[in-house]
This record gives sequence, C-alpha cells and structure tokens, in this order.
Amino acid sequence: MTSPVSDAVPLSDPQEMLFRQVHPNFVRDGRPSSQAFRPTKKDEGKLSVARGSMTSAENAFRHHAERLQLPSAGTWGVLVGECIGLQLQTFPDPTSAPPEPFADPAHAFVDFRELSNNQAEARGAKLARQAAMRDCLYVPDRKAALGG
Amino acid sequence: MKKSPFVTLVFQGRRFGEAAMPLETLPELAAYRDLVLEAAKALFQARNPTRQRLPRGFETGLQLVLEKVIEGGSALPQISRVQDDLGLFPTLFPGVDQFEEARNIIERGIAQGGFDDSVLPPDYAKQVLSRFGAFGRTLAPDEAILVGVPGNRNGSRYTREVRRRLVLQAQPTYEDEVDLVGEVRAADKDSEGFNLRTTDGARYPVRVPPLFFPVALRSLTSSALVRVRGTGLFDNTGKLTRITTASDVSMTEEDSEGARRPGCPTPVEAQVRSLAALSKGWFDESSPSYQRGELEWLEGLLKGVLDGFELPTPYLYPTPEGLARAEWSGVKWEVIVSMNLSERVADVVAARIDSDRVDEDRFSLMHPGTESKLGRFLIEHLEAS
Repeated sequence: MTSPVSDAVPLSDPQEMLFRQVHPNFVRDGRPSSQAFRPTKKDEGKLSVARGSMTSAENAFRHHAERLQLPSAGTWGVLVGECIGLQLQTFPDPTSAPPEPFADPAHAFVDFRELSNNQAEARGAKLARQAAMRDCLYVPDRKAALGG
Repeated sequence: MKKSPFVTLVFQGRRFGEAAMPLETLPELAAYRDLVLEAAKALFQARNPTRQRLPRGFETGLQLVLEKVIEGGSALPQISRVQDDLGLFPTLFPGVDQFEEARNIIERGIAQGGFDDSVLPPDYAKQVLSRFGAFGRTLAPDEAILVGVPGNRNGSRYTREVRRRLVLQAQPTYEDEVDLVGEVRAADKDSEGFNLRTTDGARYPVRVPPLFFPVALRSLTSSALVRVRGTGLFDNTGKLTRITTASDVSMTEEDSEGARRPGCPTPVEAQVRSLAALSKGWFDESSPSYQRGELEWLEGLLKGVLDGFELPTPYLYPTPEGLARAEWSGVKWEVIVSMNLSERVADVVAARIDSDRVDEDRFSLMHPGTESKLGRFLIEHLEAS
C-alpha cells in the first residue's frame, strides 16, 4: 500500500461508512474484539478499512477473503464521523497493482500513528463498541461470524 | 333483565390471593367471553351449513358481567349472564341454550386438550382453537385458571401449556406475552423496529410503535439496557422467534433482575478451551499456541475473580502475541485486560465511553492478593454509572 503524503486530505463526510474485516478468532458470540479496531504492530499505526462510498460491505469482504486470501468472519463498520469524534483522522489510501497483487481503489486507513499503546486500546475499544452496536454488516457464513 | 351465574373461573397463583384480581388480568374475562361466543358461532355454523350468516342479534345474545370477586386463597370472579327476560333473543334450538352448550364445550376442550370431531368438525374446531390465543395470555408459568360450571370449583385446569397445545392444533405458531431485558441493536425508524439482544445473547426483531422509539434510540446510542414487554411469536417448539408488538419499552430499573449488562453467553471454561485449540501460526507465522498449564491458571484466575466480585462473564480472545485478552462492555466503560500468561501479569485499560478518560493499571498476579485488586478495579468500572 502507498504511504500517505504529508498533505493528504482526510476523509470528511461524517456519514461515510468505513468497512473493517475481522479475523474469525477475534469474534466471540457475535461480538468483535476491540483489537480488531486498532492496528497491530505490523500495521505501523494504520488501521486498514474500505470506503463505503466506493465499495459495499459484501465486496469489501470478497476483496479481503477471496482476492487477498485473508481470513475474515465478516464486515463490520464505523463511520468517519465516529472516528472524528475520537480524534482519529481517516485518509484515503488507494492501492495499485503492482506493487500490490490486486488494486483496491477503496482502501483507506484510520490513523493511530501518534497514539500511545493505551490510547490506541481505548479508542479501538470505542470504535469496536460502535461497530458491535451496528452489528455485522455482511456475514458470509453465520457460523464463522459467530466465532467461538 | 335477569341475571344468572354462568361460569366459575378460579384464578390460582400468588397474585390472586385475598380475593384480588390484578388489573392486568382483567382482559382474561373478555377473552373468555369471546371464546364462548366463537364456540357458539361454530356450533351454529356446523349445524346450519347452508346458512351464510348468523341470526340477527346473535353476538349480543351473550352478555356476561363481573359481579364481584370472592373467596380468599384464589381469586374467584363471579361471572353472570344477563338475559333479556322479554325473550327478544329466543334460543335457536328448543330446549338447548347455545351459549351454555358452548361454555360446556370449552370446558371439555380444556380438559381433553382439544375437541372431538363429533362435537365440532375439524374446520370449525380450528376456528375455536385459535381463539384460545387470547385467553390465558397474562398467566405466569405457575398460575392457572380452573374453568367450571357455576358452583363447581373443580373445573378444567387451564395453564399456559394447555393454551399452547390448543392453539398449536389450529396453527403452526402461537403468540404469548413476553417480558425481556436487553440492549437495542440496529433500530430502523422506517420499519418501526429494532433488534433486541437479550442478556443471554439471543437476538429478536421487535416491532414497536413510534412513541417508544426515543427510548430505543437512547439504548442504541448509550448501550443502556431496556425492558421490552409485549406480544411474542413462538414456534411449535416453544422457541421465541420475534416480538410482534411491543406494548412497552422502558429503561430498566436499577438492580432489577437481568439489568446487569450482558456478559458473554459462553462460559469461561469453554472460551479457554477454544484458546487451547489454536495451533501455532493461527494468525501469522509468529503467533504462538497456548500452553495447557498456562490456560489452567488463566481459567482458575478468571473464575475466582468473576465469582468473588460477581462480574459478568468476559469475552475472551487470543492475541497474535500469545496474550489472553478479556473484554467487558460496561454501562459507561469499555474494559480490556491483557494477560501475559507466562509472566502472570495483567495490563488493564478502561476507557470511559462519554469522555476521554482512560484508566490503566498493571497487576503482577504472582503476588498473593493481587487478584482482589484486579477484581476491585473491574467492579469499580463495570458497575459505574
């Protein structure tokens, strides 16, 4: 994926949905773990999402699971406005092939780069709470999405 | 006008002591009257198959009144029939009062769990059986109504289970009163509905009048628990499938049963077992598997803290680094405990929902008594309002 330039313009439509794929082991009885809504160490502070203005919950899942061959229990979502409310900026980050195996014009990220570990935990937990209240937006297989 | 005793309905159960009829049970009397009327109609139609309509004044021929509620121990409403002594509504069958016959059929139907074909042909029986759906709807599982002829207190025993069996003979589903506590999910004003997730993790679609929407939306945005009362649709196995009409949606009372925020419906033991099932590399090439001895320690720790502080069951997840992660969604706090199982250290982060406040602490669980400190941290945040 590309690195955002310093003058990249953050997403600004508060109603735009950002789709997030959640690993099957991070879903328990339908509830996604908050660690699915904060970057892992390898993510360098960028939580990957897909823009709701450019793709659907189902297509976001298909791109992740079928093209990229990555595990996902389903698509959850948070709004740009909810990220802004937590002082988290979101940036468009379209990828191209090459260098990526598949282009993803809908790719974006939530920026956690300036946060301490516990700040990231706290904001990830709040994003996860919002996503859980909204429920899974695309469930490929109910059994997989329920996890456990 | 003349009045004569028509039926004995003995309401049994703790609510009906001291000759009292709770107001919410009064609709049972009207439902009983409708049931007898339907049986009378079915009898008439079965015996007059060529007639397209009921005789004029048929329905008004059955006027029942509640005179008083007598007796202690059980509530015994005295129900009499009012008849026009001028004979403006003559009986349809000489020597037989069709409403008294209908009353007797209802009593026998309750006792036998249905109607013999010789009494009512199946199509007409279904017409009556479905009417049982409205009678007995307010009964609790341990309550009953004895339905008998006047002066006889040993009538047919009518319970929720009898009602269910009778209604299911006429249709594949039945309705019953529901009283649930849960969290509102995914409200949709256009469809006048929301999804309710109950404290045991089940989810039900709820149809709700617009006036209750503000309460539902408050629950949705603040994750507060609501109490939903109304009519639920059950399948023939007795499983609730949806709430067809909510008659009340209100915020739960403090300390009410089930008002604690829902915990994970899967017990801790089963959740720990699922961690044990993960093999090395389950997330990426560096994610380790979990050691049996460490998981046994984790299970003991969690059960001790949960029982000691009466905490809701957490949602337990693995992490790519090999930690065990317990999460709770409290009323005002999201709480995360990340446990390093080999070092027996717990890092706790609590994020206040309605502010930027973040509380954090580290507990070295090698030291005796630290479990209590962890438990106190959790209870203080999960019970905060």
